[in-house]
Amino acid sequence: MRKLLVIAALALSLGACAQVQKVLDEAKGIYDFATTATVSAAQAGIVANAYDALKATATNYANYCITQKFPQPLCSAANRRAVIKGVRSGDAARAQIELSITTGQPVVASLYNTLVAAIQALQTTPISTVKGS
Amino acid sequence: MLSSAILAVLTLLEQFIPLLGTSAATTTLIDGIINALTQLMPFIVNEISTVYASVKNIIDLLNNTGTMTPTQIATLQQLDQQVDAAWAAVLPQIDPDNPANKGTPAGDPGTA
Repeated sequence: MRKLLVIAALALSLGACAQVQKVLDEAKGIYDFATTATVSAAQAGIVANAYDALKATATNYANYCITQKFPQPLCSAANRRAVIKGVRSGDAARAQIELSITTGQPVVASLYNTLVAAIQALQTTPISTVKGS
Repeated sequence: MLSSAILAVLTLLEQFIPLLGTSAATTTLIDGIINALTQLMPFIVNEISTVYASVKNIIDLLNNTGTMTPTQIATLQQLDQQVDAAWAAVLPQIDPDNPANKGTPAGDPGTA
């Protein structure tokens, strides 16, 4: 009986790892630009999820720069400007589509594409080099 | 260690989501999950940003159940605001174009 419990616990643990990895993969994946007029709330939700994860990572990057007194070239002015620009662009798009996401309505593709572009721009910045976990 | 502990909790919460039904007990359970997330959020924002993706996934799943009350939705929106606030708090300190940063390490040496 005890062995069965151990096996069950291990199986649960492995399954959980795979599930978390899948979530992280989705959040960090590369998203295609939409070619249709609208996208579903679910599609927009995944991209918004990825953007939020990146924004949290950007916050970690900012904290790193502050606490380490802006080491170069990682925290150069150019790099910080790129991060700030990406976040501002993403914030604007996310704010406009958030209502659609929460109500389950289709999202205008241009907004979706703006958010995808912001994600891709942030992915080219050094924010991922100072991830917290 | 803190990261591992929070990740374990989040993983557990994630596995509960597909099991949620539409009963009154479900509403209570969702309330409990949201409260747990609310309490974890400061640690997530400050310590383990990558796990935030997992939290957002949970939030999205909760939004998609169709059984959430306006209060629950409002609570989730407050979570979003909390994460946004974390960025807003650091932005002025790292913005090289912030006049307050001129002449400091946070400024732009090229324009000093």
